[in-house]
Amino acid sequence: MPRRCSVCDHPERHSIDEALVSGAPYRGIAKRFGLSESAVYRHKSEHLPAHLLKAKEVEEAAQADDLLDQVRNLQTHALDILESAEKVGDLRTALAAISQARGNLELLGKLAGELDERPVVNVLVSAEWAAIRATIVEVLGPYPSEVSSAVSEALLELEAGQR
Amino acid sequence: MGAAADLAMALDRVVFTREALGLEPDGWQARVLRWSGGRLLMNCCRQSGKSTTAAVLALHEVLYRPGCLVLLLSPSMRQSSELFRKVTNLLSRLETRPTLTEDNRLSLILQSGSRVVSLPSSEATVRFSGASLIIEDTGDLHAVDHGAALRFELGLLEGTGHGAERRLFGGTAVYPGQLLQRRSVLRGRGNAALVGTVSFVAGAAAVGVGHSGTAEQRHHDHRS
Repeated sequence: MPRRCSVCDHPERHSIDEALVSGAPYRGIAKRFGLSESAVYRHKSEHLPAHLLKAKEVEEAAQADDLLDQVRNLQTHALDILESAEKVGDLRTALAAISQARGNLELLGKLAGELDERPVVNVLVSAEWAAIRATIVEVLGPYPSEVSSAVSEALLELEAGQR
Repeated sequence: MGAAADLAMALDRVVFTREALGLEPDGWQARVLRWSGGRLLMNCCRQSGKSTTAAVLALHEVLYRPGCLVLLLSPSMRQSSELFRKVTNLLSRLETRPTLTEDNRLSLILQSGSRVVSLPSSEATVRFSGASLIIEDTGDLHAVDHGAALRFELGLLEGTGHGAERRLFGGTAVYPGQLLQRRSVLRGRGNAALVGTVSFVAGAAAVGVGHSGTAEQRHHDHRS
């Protein structure tokens, strides 16, 4: 049975999420709330976006909106800093602002469900699928072509959601 | 594309032609694509689409039959490479191109080990055996030198007959007698199913594929 996330179960979870969204270092958050650094990191990467999305839809809507707004505010702020740094030619600050803005965009993308970081496996190019497919084609080969055509038609209907 | 659509295309070359290549085959082409016999005679006029149809058959074979060999043979290297170019052109139409381990002017090898090789017939008879599909194209050789074209087709039957499962003979025999002779030559070397296509004067569209006597009759009707 998988172990529950100690941050999700934490009574001050909302404060922890806020600290994570604001970009506070993991070590500091872990120390402040009596957690392990790895638990905080795992919570941010695996549970925070899901939590915010879920919260947006149900009873924690207000909290989630608050967190979303904070991310948006951070993004606005980062872009302001970038603009100011560019005006005075402070390239180091500008690069840091770009980096922060990119991180904000990633987080917003996750919240909007636009970034899916789960690995995608295309089974259609796998050797196993090629072997299965070749076997089916070979077995049906000796039968009249109408048989293969009928199966093919049914499969197309299945693909189109008509079965 | 999902697994169901992929399997549907593997099972039916007409579906493959429509869905993967974006081409709509004519009725006679659909019958050729669904042909499951051992020998097929495609006696079509120029520009009727016989080379494209043959190229679809070749491409489908190598895509869905791992480890197979498809031979494209003609009396000359130029004709063989023309047909091979058709295959590569169709390959480029695929949304997801298969990984090729070899791709040159005369042959290609897929990661699955399947190969398409184009050759003049003289080399093929010496070097290759065990092809799952042999496609030969005499082009308009029957019109120029019918005897030479017949000898070429007969030579292929005898020279590359080691384990070949299916053969497709393309080309244009202009006169009904020539078509009969072609059929006789090809049928005389085995009992595999033979399908004769209708032959037309240049520029006219092909309209059908027939078994046995129907092909000659349509041919005769058209020319008369």
